Amino acid sequence: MKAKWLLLTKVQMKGLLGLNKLRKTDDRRVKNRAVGAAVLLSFAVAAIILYDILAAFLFVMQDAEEALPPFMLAIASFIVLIFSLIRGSSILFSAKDHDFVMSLPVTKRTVIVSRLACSYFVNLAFTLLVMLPSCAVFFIAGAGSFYDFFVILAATLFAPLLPLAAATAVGTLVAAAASRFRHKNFAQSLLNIVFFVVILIASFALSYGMQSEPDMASVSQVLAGKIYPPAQLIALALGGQAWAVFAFAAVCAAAFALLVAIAAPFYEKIVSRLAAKSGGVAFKEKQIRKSSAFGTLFKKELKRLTASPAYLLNSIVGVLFLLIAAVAFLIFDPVSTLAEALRSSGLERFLPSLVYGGGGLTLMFVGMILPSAASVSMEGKSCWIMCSLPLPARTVLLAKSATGPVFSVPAALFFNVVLLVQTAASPLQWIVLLLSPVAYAALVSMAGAGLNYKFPRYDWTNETAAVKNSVPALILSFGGLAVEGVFIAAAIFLTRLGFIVYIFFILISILGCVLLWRAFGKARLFDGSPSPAVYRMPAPSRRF
Amino acid sequence: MQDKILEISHFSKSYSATKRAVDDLSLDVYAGDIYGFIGQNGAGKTTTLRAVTGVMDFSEGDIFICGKSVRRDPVACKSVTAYIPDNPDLYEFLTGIQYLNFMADVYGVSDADRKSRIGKYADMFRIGGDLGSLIGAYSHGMKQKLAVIGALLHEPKLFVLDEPFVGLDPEAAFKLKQVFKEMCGQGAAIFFSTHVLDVAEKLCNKIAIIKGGRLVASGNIDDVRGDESLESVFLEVVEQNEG
Repeated sequence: MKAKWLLLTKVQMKGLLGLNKLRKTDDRRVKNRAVGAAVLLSFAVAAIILYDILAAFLFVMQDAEEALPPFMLAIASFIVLIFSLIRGSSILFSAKDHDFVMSLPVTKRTVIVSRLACSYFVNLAFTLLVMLPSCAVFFIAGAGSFYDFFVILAATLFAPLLPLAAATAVGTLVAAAASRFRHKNFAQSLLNIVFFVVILIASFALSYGMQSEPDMASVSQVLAGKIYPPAQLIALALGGQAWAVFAFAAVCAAAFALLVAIAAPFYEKIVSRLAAKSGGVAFKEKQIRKSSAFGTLFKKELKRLTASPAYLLNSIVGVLFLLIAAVAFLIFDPVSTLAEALRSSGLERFLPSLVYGGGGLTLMFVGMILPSAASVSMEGKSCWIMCSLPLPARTVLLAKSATGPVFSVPAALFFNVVLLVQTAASPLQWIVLLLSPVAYAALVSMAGAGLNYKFPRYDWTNETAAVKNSVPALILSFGGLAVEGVFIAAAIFLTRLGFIVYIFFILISILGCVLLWRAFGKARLFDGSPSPAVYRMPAPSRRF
Repeated sequence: MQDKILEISHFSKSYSATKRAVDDLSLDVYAGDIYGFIGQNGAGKTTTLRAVTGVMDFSEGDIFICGKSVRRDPVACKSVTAYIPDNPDLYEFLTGIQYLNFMADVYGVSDADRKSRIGKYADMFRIGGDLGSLIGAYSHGMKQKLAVIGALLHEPKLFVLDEPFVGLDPEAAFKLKQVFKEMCGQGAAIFFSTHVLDVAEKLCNKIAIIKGGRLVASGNIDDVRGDESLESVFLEVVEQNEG
């Protein structure tokens, strides 16, 4: 008989990835959409592999191959930590199937293990995606032995456990604290953001001590040594000390086991408190207010965003990065240091590149602020409301598109103004750096809503499935990163003439918005899930 | 002659090459009709209702509401229709009153109208004391009541409901039937699916029976059942069409 945690994990995985639905459905449109999503997703995967291989080659070129596996492991673990922090307490506490699962003859520990295992497998897939290509370069470069292969394999399998356990512990603490408040979701969102900012600032502070002209080995040393010390154990293991890999595995497994042991006694209590409902509140007549259809849709979108800690944090990570970076710029003024370094090296002609490079950085963060990319899926089982409203799809999609810029534009403008002031920028630079984030925020937000309209996912039981497994967000994040990379490189390369690239970028963004506006006009909103009649016909025996 | 509110003309829906959820269904609903749509589980009732309300697309046949095509002019059709699915999953992050405001805004209901209608129906369904609470805190029945109030705010010409009496307490079910009659008296039409044949028999003036996606009987309830009870007719029709 299969272990119960494995059975629960299997069921959750089927729901999480939607592969089971895809395998069992006969709906051609569902299959066509899946093919389209897979094609687009493969571009995102290809982009990750490309970055991965490029990073690996940097190590090889600098004869620092031995620092590559701990570095990539630290990178993968750090990303797993960030992603898991964004998911926060929802990993354990916000599944809609909670009552059903708890009614089964399983222990709380089994439920917790199954929830964590589900996240572990997803994170393991990501870790493999990061580790495999770079380690392939590592072995092709002749830096690895058979022993190294087993060290890296063991490290990769255990690596996601530690950041997952750490982030879930933070999420559990946040959930426990928020459950005492009346506005639980808002308190949870706020606490999540505070924790997230603290961790970001701590990691920035730790890496600030890095030398001004870093080589890859020292970057790896800082990342694996200071920011993620367990990766140092892998460096030791690759150096011939086999005990270190066992120590790494033990640390990761122990963190996981400890979390399960500590969380189990409080699990039900926290869930009950989070689910506790304060009913019986009457309304006041002044609450009945008229507003436009677009205005009411937009307000609803904002309420949806702030009602979900995972959705909110996932959507505003870029905003937090921008605000922290802007404050760091104000305090440490790295622009002057860099400008001085360029002057002393006789590279004054690259001074304008500082402005354009900084502005490009802003655009990269703006490209990460994508609440609209999950906004259609977030309708979930309520999507019948959206589909039955007497409004053109364009109005609905534009209201969904409007949420992102509300957060991204002020943060981006704040960062750019700091940059422009510190670099004593020209009027032309002011114009392009103030216009570009506005135009790009509008474009990515509309593209997010448009892609989510094409690839919606309404059948989730845990909202993080809609937020984190959003194909549109992945496509836009990684696809956007490639476009932004080319754009920044061109703007930096053209130095004084970098504004041309910016003007081109602004015009392309505006054109993209116009095209999406027209496409929204042709859109029709339907609930794609089949009604019970679709299951009337007996399924062929092979499909059981 | 009564106004034709809903016309379903040769409507078919396939989800795949092998599965035909609804097959060549045609029926008309006139102003003042309370039209019951009955059938076994998976017969195609929900598919039909979702197509009527524009929630689901279709490519075969056409559906007209007040003379306008759901396929070609969906916004105009939706603006005179109200729909309540069998399990009304509402926006749980909104309070009851925020939800009603949202619906009134979207349907363009004036300030004065929304105030009077919210007051009237909140009292009728005894939900006024909870409208300031989050919908997430509501029971299934309260959500159902809220969905009904939200659907009535714009005084629809066609009210489409999927199993409307499931989850409602007896008093609310009685009040809903009263609302149906009141609406029909004002020239609207009700088209709803139900498994409760007793309700259909007492409430509806017309019924349609669907089996395996095909309409097997329809018309005035007295013509369909003859001297028998609706239950006997339904079972007979279902068994006749087996195999």
